[in-house]
Amino acid sequence: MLKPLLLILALLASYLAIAFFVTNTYHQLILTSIPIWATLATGWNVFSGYVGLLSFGHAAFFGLGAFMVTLLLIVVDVTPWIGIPVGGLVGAASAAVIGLPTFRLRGHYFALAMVAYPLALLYVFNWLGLQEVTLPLKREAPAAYMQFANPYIYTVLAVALLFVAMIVACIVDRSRFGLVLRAIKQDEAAASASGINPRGWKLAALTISAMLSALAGGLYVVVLNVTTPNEVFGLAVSSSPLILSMFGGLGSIWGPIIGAFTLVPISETLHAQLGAVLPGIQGVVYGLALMLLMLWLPEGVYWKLHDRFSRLHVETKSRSVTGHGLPQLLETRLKALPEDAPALSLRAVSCRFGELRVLESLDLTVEPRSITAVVGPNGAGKTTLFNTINGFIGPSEGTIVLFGHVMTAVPVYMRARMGLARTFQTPRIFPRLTLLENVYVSAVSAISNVSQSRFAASWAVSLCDLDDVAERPAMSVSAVHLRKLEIARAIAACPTVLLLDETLAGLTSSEIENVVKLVRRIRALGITIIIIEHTMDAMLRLVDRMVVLNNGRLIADGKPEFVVRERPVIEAYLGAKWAARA
Amino acid sequence: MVLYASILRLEIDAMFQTIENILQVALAGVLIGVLYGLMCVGLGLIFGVMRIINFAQGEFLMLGMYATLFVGVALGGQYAGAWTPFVSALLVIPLIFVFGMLLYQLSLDRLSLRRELGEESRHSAQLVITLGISLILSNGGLMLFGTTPKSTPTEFASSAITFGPLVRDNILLFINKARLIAAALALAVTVAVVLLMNRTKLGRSVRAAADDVDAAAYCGIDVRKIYMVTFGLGAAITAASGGLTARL
Repeated sequence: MLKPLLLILALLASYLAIAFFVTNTYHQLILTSIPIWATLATGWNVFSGYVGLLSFGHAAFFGLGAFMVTLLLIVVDVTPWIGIPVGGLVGAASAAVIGLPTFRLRGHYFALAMVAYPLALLYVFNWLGLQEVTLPLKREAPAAYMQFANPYIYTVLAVALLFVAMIVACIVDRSRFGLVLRAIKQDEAAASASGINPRGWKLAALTISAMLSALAGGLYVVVLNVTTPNEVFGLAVSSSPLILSMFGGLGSIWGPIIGAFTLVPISETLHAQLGAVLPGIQGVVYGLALMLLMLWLPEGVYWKLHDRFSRLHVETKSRSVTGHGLPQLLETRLKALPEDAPALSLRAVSCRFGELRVLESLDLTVEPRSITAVVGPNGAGKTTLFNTINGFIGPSEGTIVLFGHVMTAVPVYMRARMGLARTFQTPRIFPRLTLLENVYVSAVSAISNVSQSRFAASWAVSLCDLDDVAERPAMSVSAVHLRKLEIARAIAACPTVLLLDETLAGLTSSEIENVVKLVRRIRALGITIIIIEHTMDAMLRLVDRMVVLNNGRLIADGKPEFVVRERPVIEAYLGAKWAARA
Repeated sequence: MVLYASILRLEIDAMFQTIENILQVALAGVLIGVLYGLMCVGLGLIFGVMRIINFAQGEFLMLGMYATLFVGVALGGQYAGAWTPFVSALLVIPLIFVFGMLLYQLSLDRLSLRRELGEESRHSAQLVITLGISLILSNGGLMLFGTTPKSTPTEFASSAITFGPLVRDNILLFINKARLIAAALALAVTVAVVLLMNRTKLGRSVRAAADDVDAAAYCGIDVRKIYMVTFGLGAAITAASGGLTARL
């Protein structure tokens, strides 16, 4: 945290030192506009770069900031010194209004929907008769109204704003906030199953992002002294942070800075040098440069440099584990469990997709601290059962009760936080995070205390024998490690009930043995386990009870060694012919 | 009594006038809507199949308009007959088709080789590239064609087909011939695209690639070629709709 901060400070100070010797007013204006665009791009990146939802609508925030400053000064005579922060707050508030409905959309659809907001605001402000507004001159007290004869002071202000923005970006990048955002970017469903509320985090990111953008807009209008809706709400403003950040590299604090400090001067110089000679040539050159650079460095300049650099310095971080035994939360949770209530009970749960009946009025009660296997042929409804229990799918009928709490209407991430964890049939990991970070994401959402969640993460990693690969990115480890990683991630959230979906599928027999032992260890902690599995012999050794699903109905239930002999079970698995022979 | 009757008369006339206006506007809306629809077919092809948000869409439209103008001039301008602009708008289709494929081959295709990037960064890069294309085309257009508005005149623009009067001597509708022809051609092109997508092997390949790139590749479809054709086709259709819209 301190190292990048010092680097930022040094870079910005030298920038100011160079700018001090620039006498040409036009050049000074360019030098002022670079940090302003960099601030906008940094703000944009805090949301789009980390969450992965591209926004084409940040002009909405930029423009609101600009007009807030303008209107406060003209209508109520409030100085921009107050106006700019107020504009930032208005931008932040508007993020909530814009974000809540728009987060229903994903991917490209989100990107396109965001275009609408600045365009709508543009027409509103034109309609209000604010086609062109000039800030009034305050001759009696210029400094109090942020009006300076010396353009260099504006450069200093812009650099100061950028410094603030970069500190915010740095905090987001280094904190668990940034980690959670990256997790959401990589797999939103897995993140919410780990107890993360994606909407809440996205909204927080958008709010910060909008605030920075609005601050940039506010300062922009003060520097230019005049504003039009087209200039601050236009598509050019929306696309510029996108171009700058993508050029520099998404999802790092340096990307937007690199983008702004190379592209803005290039385009401004081209405009000044060539625009007069042959109008349009600057656009062609700029466009060509963008195209060629993206073909050459599609991930952005920063990541290219980063890859070069980090290949030389392989980071060797030592993990320090503090504390012994179980994570506190898990211990309290397990102790607080009611003795008499079942761990999980489903009452008449049905699940239909149109005409398709996947689960038919299922009743199931699971005893605490037991291991229950759910088996059944493909298409029996096993994974749907898990999805219903964990909340990905709302049941058409029936109730789901976890240790006496009715969960039917509780959202996925809240169920996870109330002690229900799960793994997925095909591991859903966050591929670019390290194994430890993967686990930490889930610990963070369960435990608010930082050192406690650190401990829970390393505890879970150790329990699952992942210590030696803990620092490797998840996309680089083998299948059995991914299975264990999913288990580690699930138990780091300190669950009381754990759902394992085909955890043994595709593993070799020695690997199966390994994971079976792990599951036993977890049960020994006092965690209730429900497991979907096809590997029968492993199940016979592992579980206390076996329930068999077929066509969405429970066809057998009891001790595993008895269940596998029951006629309907053999029929379901092997067909009526074999049942007759058994 | 007579007075009442004449007042009533006036009100009925006014009502018919309103109905006439509404119908007239609706008709004009439908005719222009068909052209916009064609433009969206171009956009939809590129986005639906390749999942690229194409920022250069507007520039393809502009290119289509200018290409129509120049092809028309090459054919002899308005002396060659009133049909010249329409014929040239259709001739623009193969022209821009080739241009679009070349453009794709030179830019976006280079990225499709880089699978190590992951879908997300590839899409971001493609997005910036279409932004670059848009900047180049719009500013290049400014340099080459200047800022003076041009037109592709046709006699049809000043003649109309009349419908009606529909109710006794009320409700008379005018349809501009040029607009009608443009809409009819746009509809024809749209139908041709639908047939191409649903009835031909190429169309099936395109739809397969849109559904699942990998599965399509396993079935022996050259997805990169399909993308190239789709991009060319999308550009060409957009350009044609531009050419047909230009005289309105």
